Amino acid sequence: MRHRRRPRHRAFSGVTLVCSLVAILAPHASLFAQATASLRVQVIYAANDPGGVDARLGGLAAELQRTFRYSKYELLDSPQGSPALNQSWQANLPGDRRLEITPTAMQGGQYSLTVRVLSSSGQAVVNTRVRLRSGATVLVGGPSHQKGVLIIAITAG
Amino acid sequence: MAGPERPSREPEDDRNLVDRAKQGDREAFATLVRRHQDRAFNLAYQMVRNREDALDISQEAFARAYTSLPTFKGEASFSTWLHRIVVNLAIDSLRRKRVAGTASYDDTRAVPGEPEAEPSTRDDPAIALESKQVRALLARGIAQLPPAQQAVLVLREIEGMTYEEISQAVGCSLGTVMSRLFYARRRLQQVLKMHLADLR
Amino acid sequence: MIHWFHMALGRGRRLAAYAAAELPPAEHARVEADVRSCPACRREVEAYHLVSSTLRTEPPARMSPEQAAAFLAGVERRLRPGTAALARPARPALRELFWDHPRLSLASAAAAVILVLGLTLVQMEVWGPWSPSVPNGVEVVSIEAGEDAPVMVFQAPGSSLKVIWVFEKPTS
Repeated sequence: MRHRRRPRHRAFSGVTLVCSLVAILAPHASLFAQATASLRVQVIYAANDPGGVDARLGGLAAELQRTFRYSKYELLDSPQGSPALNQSWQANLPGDRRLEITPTAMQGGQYSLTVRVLSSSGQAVVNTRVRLRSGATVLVGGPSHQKGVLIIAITAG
Repeated sequence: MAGPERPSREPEDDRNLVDRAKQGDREAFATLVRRHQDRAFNLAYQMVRNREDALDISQEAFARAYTSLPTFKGEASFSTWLHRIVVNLAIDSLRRKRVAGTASYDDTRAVPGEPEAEPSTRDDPAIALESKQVRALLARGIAQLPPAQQAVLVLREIEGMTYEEISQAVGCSLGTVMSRLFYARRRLQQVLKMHLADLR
Repeated sequence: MIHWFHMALGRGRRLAAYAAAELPPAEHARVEADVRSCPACRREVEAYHLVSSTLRTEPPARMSPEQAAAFLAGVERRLRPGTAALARPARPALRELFWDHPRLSLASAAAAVILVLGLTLVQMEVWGPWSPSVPNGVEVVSIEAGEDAPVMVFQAPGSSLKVIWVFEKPTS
């Protein structure tokens, strides 16, 4: 059975520990968690063809259907990577294109990424900087593919 | 570019999230809810055609999924398993309401006051077959189908599931799925055939 | 198996299967030839196609943003009393260790303070001052597009996805 009067060291240590842990976990978690950004990419072919929605798209399917009016969404590829800070990671895209993602900051569950879609000649079709919360998804779309377009879903975390 | 390797049917994340949720990881289950809530709501709505009931059913489905997690063995995907719970709840709801004579449904789809999404039409042309009349007829037709037929029709035609997935989602044999689907399609086809005849 | 199922049954099902493109190729061709010469059959097939195409292009029903945001809370409210609602893992036993060993607990507290101060300095050195949280999970900070490819950023109402859309010049 505990004594009613707590020894002083317990009170002092307890408060200090709690405050320190909060201070560590809040903005500094990324340091302990990982020095790399875990990237998940889904390369999707969207068109106004029969074919419906690829079941492998999971929860993304409903969002795509809310955002666009294509009748077909097909998952072409789902590359993943874990580049370190300021290290570029690339994935092939249809049409001899490449997707290049470079994490430029990782902090408190947020990721700053430079995302480029490069044509076959190496020219950047789009070059964008985005900030994502861990688990959030951004879409880069529009490059033509067959009878439709490519939509690239990028999630970090 | 070499053909991409086809990923497995279920995203690996769902499997990992389920495993973590089974061990009490709160955030993992919350992530599953956020990921699948829209599809669950849409499925429930397509069955019961009532927004409040659909919200009720889809939330109840996740609550039941959470408490039943220990029994989920992973033979089907989490999504398919969840669909099964949603479908069963929707069928129960339909049967209760039909017995009580209180079935009601609305044909509205968009949230009031929200404009439709309008990305550039150059890359996203309007789909040719939009007909309010046809959709209204089909909505009524679906509402009059027996719940079991309604379930397979919605899962096949709206959710785009394969026969095997539907079989797992509703818990019946492939043959039963196909039979129910045939009768559901034929019923709706007969409704539309009359409509098309009126147009000529 | 699906093809076999349809083949084993009568004309009505065969026509429905033809409309759904679920017959084996040879049977599909045979039924197609029959349909061509049968106006009533054509109307049936047309109606089947209309059912499928209308349902498949049905826009999904969606919750209002408020309902979507409150959905998880609604799930939690339904969990039975006594069920640990989306349970947190049990507290570790480490607490007991610190509580009963004064030197250890004081030393740990001091170490934690030093660690926090050190990490703060390192983090600011490496990644700059803390930035505010990203609202809605995604922020597009900057965009550059190719000369012939204007770019648009949008987010559809009711959708959580932010889209960066490139209008590529048609090649033909």
